[in-house]
Amino acid sequence: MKVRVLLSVWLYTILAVICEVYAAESISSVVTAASVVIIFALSQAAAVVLFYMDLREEPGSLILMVIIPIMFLAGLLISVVASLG
Amino acid sequence: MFSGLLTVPPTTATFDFLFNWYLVSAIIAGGFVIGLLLFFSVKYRAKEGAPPASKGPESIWIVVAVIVIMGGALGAAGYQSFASQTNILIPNSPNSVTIMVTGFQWGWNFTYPNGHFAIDNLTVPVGQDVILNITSRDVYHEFGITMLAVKEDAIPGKVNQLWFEMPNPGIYVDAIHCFQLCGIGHSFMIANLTAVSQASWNSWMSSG
Amino acid sequence: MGATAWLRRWVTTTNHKDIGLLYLFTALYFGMAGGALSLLIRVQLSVPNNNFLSAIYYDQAVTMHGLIMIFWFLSPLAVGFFNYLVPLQIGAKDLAFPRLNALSYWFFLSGGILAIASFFVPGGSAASGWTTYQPLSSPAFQPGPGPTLAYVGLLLLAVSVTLGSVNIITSILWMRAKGMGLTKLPMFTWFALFTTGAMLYAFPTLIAAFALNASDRIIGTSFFSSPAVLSIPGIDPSILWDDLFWFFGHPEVYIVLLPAFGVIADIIPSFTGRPLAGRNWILISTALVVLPLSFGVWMHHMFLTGIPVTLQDSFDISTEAISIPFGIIIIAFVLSLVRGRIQFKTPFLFVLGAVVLFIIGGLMGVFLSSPVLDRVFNGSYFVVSHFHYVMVGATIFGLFAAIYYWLPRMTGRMYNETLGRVHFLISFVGFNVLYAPMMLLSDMPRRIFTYPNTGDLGIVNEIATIGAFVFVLAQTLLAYNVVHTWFRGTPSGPNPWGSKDLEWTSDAEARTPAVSGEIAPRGGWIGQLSAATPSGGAGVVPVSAEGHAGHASIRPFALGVGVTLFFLGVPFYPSMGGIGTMVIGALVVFYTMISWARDDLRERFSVPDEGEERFPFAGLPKVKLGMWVFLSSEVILFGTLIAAYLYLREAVVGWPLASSIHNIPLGTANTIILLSSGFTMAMAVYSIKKGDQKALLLWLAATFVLGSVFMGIKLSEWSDLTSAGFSITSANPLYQLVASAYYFLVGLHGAHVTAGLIVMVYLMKKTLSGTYTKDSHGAIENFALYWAFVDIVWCFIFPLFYLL
Repeated sequence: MKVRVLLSVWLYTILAVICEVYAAESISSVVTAASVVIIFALSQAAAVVLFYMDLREEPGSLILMVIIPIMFLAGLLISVVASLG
Repeated sequence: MFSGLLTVPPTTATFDFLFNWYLVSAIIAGGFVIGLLLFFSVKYRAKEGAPPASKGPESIWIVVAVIVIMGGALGAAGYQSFASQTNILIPNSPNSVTIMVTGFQWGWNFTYPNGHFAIDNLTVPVGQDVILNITSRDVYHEFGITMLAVKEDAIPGKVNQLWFEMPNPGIYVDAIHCFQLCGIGHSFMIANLTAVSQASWNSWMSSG
Repeated sequence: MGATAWLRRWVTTTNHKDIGLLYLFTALYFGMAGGALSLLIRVQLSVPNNNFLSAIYYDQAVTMHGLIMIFWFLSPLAVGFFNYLVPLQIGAKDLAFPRLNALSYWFFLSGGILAIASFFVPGGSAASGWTTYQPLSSPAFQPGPGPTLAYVGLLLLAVSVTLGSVNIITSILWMRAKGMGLTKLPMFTWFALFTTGAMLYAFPTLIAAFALNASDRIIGTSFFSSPAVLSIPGIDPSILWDDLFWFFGHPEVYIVLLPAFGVIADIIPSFTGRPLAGRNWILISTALVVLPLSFGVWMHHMFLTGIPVTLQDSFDISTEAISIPFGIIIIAFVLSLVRGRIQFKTPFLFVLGAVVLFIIGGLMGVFLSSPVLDRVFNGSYFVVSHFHYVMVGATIFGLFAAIYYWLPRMTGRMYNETLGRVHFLISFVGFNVLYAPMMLLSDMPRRIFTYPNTGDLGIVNEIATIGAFVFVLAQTLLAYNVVHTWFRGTPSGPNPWGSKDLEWTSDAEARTPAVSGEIAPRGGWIGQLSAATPSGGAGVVPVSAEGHAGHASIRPFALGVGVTLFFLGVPFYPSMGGIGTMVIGALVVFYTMISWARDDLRERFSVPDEGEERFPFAGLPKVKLGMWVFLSSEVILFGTLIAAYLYLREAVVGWPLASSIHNIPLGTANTIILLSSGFTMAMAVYSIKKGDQKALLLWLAATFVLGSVFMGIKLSEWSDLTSAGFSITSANPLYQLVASAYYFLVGLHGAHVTAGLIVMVYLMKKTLSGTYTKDSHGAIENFALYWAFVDIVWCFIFPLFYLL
């Protein structure tokens, strides 16, 4: 059962990579291509964190400890982009 | 606070008002808290016949009061700060003068609309809005005229703007300084501000 | 005790009290160095048009004064107290990772040695301010090995801090004694947790920023430098540096300040005889408002950089908001005096002084939160006054209070009270004479080495200089008091302050038998006990001597030596001396790491007992918690670098599309290979969880092979790219920049992969000897976490560099 989960995650990550390549090549608008690609990347990261690193099975406080730096990074990215005017 | 000038320039007046607002708030707040601290220290010092130590009054309302009072004072100060943003926002005046300022190691180059340039001496007309486009040729400098309460970073590859209006003619020696460490000549990036009458300015501008 | 035995003790110790003392004394030394620099500065500024220090020496003094005081004095002093007191306060025998603790200290010292060494190389030290603005700090405008040494020293210190914060956080969360629930933690330990938590998330950005800077200076990348790159339309190295530096820099100032608040919170009850008022409010304000918000105010250092006014307004609001929790904390401190019976002993006097000075300095900060007011104050002595009030006034007075307060605990002797009070009085007066007049100097720019004889500049500066000398000379009273107390103080008894905290009341050391290497006070001396003499002999038992697991190890010290040698040589590459020093250093590092691994293989180091109170991390093994803590800081490291890369791409005009540079099919295949190695590693964990050692070995080997293929393909990609002209020395400045970004980020990731491969060899060796079983395979799971993280980072780097 667990092996099937791991296998599916593996296949998904490979599929996601192929989709990213296809999206980057075929979508003409840079912004749209970038958004699609980033979403795929985030989904791969989420799959790895949840199923390879088993974050779902860890205490909630650990999940919080992982989310905090991501929030800070989001703040940094938003402000940096906003500062470009 | 800075003038000693005949008519206070608008940017300076805005700054002075805002500064005084913050100063009075700070003195009241700081004086109250430090005074309370010293008062309690004296009142509750260990001495003969004093009652034994015990917990004092503690209530969530104290925290609420602190939040409300501080929030109110900060909100008022912040509001005044927002209202003073005319100092930062470049006005859309019809007859403003725009001068290019380029900081370099180690001096200020002022390039005027007529193409002339001067080093370390900024000449401006009295009574007209002056807009400065500020940049740098090499490293990070900072262009500031304290008596006019204006200052902006001079960053290579970028142009920052500030504005002021100078109502009093005269030569103001060393009115302009560099406020960002930029190498060994940083201390000497000093410039004069010269305010001339509109007539002299116009004749100089048209002399080509 | 012979001299060699004494020396051996200090270089092999991993005991938290010993390391705490090492930190304290080393930090005080650096404080004196920074203080000497400050006196040089004040002498030069005492009169107009002075020529005591020329501009270049003045700039170096000002720069290194800032760096040394902040990074090698204030924070390490606090860390010394954390080391000594946190295990005592939580009832643990030591910190979670003792050798890592020692390593943190030696890296701290190593970085400091490099920083001081920077003065003595040709060209002198860094001279661009502690804020290291770009492009002034780049090789184009500040060439030479000295600044590079200082910056590399800072990188080492940042690594030390990261390791230390992982250690302390894991300890507080996981090593508490039975009954020490989180709600019972003393305030000092709480603030230790807050401080190290902030360090964990702030320092990776510092590492990122200074790594990019060091890369420019050492390798020749072009993030901030080369006038040619400055000519690229849209390039903005100054703003990029500002964002990176201040995203770290603002939390940093709270990292410096918070330990002092923890000290104040622990000290007040001891001298008022009543408990702290509003304890929970202080904790909630700090944890839930100050800490998160501290990462959201940094652009108030950038008001004048040309960011949109709306952004300035947002940071005006967030900066004002952060003063509210501080108001709550200060009011709580003030109310803690009510109905007390206050004794004005020296620690309490310093606490009072710290609170008063914090109020003044903090209020000055509110002025600086307004973009309009900042137009006058930015870059002037008003700012200098503000941050010295909070960094010296609040922080140092708080840490001085800590020295007096805990000296009896560390030495068993009481300091001289009268001398302490005189020290306080003179320090307080001298401090204010030094910094109060500066509030008036908003027209005097910072970091000028001299000024003309106009207005009040001369007289104000002269008064400040007098204050400086009074303040610095007063510290001799502290030094004398500490030394005299240590050797000849009257015994203080176990709890002179009548405190209820565990570091005073626990007699745990008296009850547990001495273990070799344990530290225990005996008759006022702090001696190291040996197993052979349980009641207080003076033997030192290093790891290899007696064949059983000890508590001492030479490896951290040796690693520190190797790293120091290596980085001393780096700025002098490619000269013979530079290369030679680097080689020797590298050899020492390799040998030490292999020896460390062998120590582990032969289980020569005894790890301290586990704690019993682990909420909210019960059920999580200690090393796994440590690994998660470490990985959450790596998120910030890579995230900041990716943010920097995105900034560059957005700002620069004409950035080439990835498809014009990279071999996309090859990159895609390589990505699939790396992601597959993530799968094989997960299968390895799955196997050992079922107890299948053979399968574990096979899956580990598969992961190793896939990872190695990934690196092999990467290296061949790089060789193709460089021979096609895509390198940091490319003729086109734009491509220099693009190449810099690519090689740096992909290289950093590759270094992480390589480190993982090396660890895998060690893991496979241990698997072969049958170490890992169904119930005991922590190392495999922890490594799998690391490897999965490395995969995740690549999931973002691949599209950003190869596809877009």
